[in-house]
Amino acid sequence: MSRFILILPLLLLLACGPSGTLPGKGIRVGLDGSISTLDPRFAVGARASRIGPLIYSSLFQLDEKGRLTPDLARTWFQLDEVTYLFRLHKGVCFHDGREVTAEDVQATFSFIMDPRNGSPKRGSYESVRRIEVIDRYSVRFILKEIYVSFPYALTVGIVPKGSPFRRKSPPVGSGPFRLQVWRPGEEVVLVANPNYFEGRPRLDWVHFRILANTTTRLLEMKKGGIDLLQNCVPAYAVKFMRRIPGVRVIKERGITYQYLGYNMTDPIVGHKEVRQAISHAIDSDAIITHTLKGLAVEADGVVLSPLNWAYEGDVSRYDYDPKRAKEFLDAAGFPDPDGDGPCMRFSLSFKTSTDMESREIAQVIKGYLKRVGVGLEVRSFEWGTFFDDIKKGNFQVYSLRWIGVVDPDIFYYLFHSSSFPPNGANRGRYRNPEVDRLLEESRRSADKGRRKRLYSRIQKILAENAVYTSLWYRDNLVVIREVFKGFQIYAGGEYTSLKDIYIEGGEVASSSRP
Amino acid sequence: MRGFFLRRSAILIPTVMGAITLVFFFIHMIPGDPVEVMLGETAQQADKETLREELGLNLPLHIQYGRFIKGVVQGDLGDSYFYRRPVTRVIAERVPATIELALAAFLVAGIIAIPLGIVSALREGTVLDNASVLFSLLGVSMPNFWLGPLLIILFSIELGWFPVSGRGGVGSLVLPAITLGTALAAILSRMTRSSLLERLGEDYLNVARAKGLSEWKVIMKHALRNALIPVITVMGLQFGALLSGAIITENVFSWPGIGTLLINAIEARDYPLVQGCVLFISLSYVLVNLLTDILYGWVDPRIRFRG
Repeated sequence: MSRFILILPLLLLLACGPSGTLPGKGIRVGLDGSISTLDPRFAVGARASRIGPLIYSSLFQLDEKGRLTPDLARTWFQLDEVTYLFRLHKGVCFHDGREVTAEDVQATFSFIMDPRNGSPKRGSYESVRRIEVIDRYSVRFILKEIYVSFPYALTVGIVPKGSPFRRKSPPVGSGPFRLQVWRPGEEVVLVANPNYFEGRPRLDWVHFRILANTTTRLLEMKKGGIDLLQNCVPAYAVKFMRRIPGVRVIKERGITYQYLGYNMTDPIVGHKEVRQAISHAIDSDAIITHTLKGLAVEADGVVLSPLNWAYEGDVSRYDYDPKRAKEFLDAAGFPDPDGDGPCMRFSLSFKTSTDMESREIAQVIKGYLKRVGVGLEVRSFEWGTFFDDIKKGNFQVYSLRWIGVVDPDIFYYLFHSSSFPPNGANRGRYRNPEVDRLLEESRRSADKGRRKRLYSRIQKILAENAVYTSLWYRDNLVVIREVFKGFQIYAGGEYTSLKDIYIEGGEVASSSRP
Repeated sequence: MRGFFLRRSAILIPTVMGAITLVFFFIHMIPGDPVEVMLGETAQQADKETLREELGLNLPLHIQYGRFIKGVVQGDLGDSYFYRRPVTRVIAERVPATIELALAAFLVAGIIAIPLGIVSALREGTVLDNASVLFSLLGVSMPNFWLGPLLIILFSIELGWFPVSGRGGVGSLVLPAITLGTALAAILSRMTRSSLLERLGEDYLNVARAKGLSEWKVIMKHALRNALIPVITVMGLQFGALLSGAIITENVFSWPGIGTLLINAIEARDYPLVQGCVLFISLSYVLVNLLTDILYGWVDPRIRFRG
């Protein structure tokens, strides 16, 4: 029996996992999932895209409202419809001391555009004919055709020319922080870049910790193990967060758009009146108040939020009106067989993911539809299976959200008849020649006023046809310790403002890593 | 002994191959496209096709399987789609944390279960025995996703003794080990109790007593040693499960082990990583079982291995 004790020293020997203390003052941020890669030429995941601006500078960045603002680009000009000229800031250095030049910009984008490198971002540069280096600090992009949304494609972080491909340690950047440690699935540690061209960050480090379990994230916040949580606190826990001393809960209007999508080829929801009826039957406002605890705003547009320049709010509205919903269903040829009795007009399959909140909302929607005589079979699937079904058109109704939409050109990707999956995200197989024409025209028009008019028209048609049932725009929710000042919520959830935050009074809860 | 090893190794290989073969075909059957997970929905169709070709996913399934088996034989499990690094390295980084947690949970279970089982058997029908039954019922009834946060609230938040989550130092190991080890302790304590009760009525114990041995020696050396054989069998099987099945505990404590890696790999349709994890798990199972058989001989010298 005593030999059993032999395991103990072995255990103690093993129990020497990573630990350490970070010097100076910093902030610990909880993340709700892993990051596959930080290399900006490959990173397509939301988490990597949000951390990216801290490590990498780019020609343009998105500001807190989701607008494009110059970053490495000191000045830029659109010389004609297809030519863009950028002049870079001089003296900006990568974290390894090399200066950022036009050649690095050219190399970064050429790398992405080279099919041999397999970058998932290559599609955004299909319109680029060539990239020319004019001098050490000037670079010119020449497009094959007009593509007015092209500047949005220039928010990719710039890396040094010749940076290796697919390595564990991503290439260096020139952003406010330098990557010090990255343990996939565990943590990302960034330390301040003293030579950052806009001035050294006021914090010495930022420590991102992957805390996939919601309860653990909340308890870490209560214990003081983390200082910031952004958009990863469920609605039900906000009350709990508010009760933690020294912690502030901030909410701001966000651009995440929640909707119901329909299969237009389906014999039931293919009817416009059925979709309109469903839209009228759901009381989004009540769901926001009771299920989402007020952490959303009822959506009155289609996809774009009121923060977007191309947003159109004057579209067909579908206020909660069960009586109207019943009228629409009758008009569509689906009369209620027994009035208020148990028999349904028809039954639909509603697909959603296994996410707890999504399932809860699906059950609420089921209740609303039952009141107008529509049965709903809620089927929740593991994410990969669910998403595969949606792309294949194997659904009647589903619910999903669009996150971080800033470029209205997304309408082409969502509703043009050439965008059926796998070529785009027109998952409902919506087909409307007028919308196709307007979308094509909006891509070619360089006049912003004209584009706005075209997008307004598109949004009105989509709303009138109830292609989506708009539910709500989810608020951005941040829980942060009060000692940290200057944090700004970005519409797309980026952590960019961590470079500007500071600790009031020089006190911080703890600066040690676990 | 040599013959025993050879015979067991001959069984080991087809067992592992069977497990990875089943998983290979199952993971390819479930819906979801790894290329789309890697490139994102917005990627060009041509790029998706190029990548599919590069990864060999355009080939017939039996050819993919042949390549996979060839890789396994050569020790090359390919690159993880998600992490874009060799699978062997990704797994190797997680193995220490997994073994650490499994051993700690095993130790917790052993420390609680065996003394509890002994006391319970020796004091059959008393308050102590009833308390042990209560512990066992609680232990197997409490799910880890509930027990873990409960322990965090008590020992981390209220008492401040241990960190809430993460891996670093012995302190961070305590709560996950208790969470994972409690259910096992409950099972083992009942097994120890019933097995020991059976032995306590045997004649050879009376012989031992007649020889003048103290009661302590009679119990520990003669009764317990025999009683532990079925307990060790269960421990062996459970240790294999601990190596692979700590998914919930790993998730609650943000513990970077194989369990969470496997779940993430399945979600990302990261075929090579799923296969690598399953290979590790099935190998762990069969090796731990082999070790268990060897332990029989250590506990009960009457058991000898024949070739």
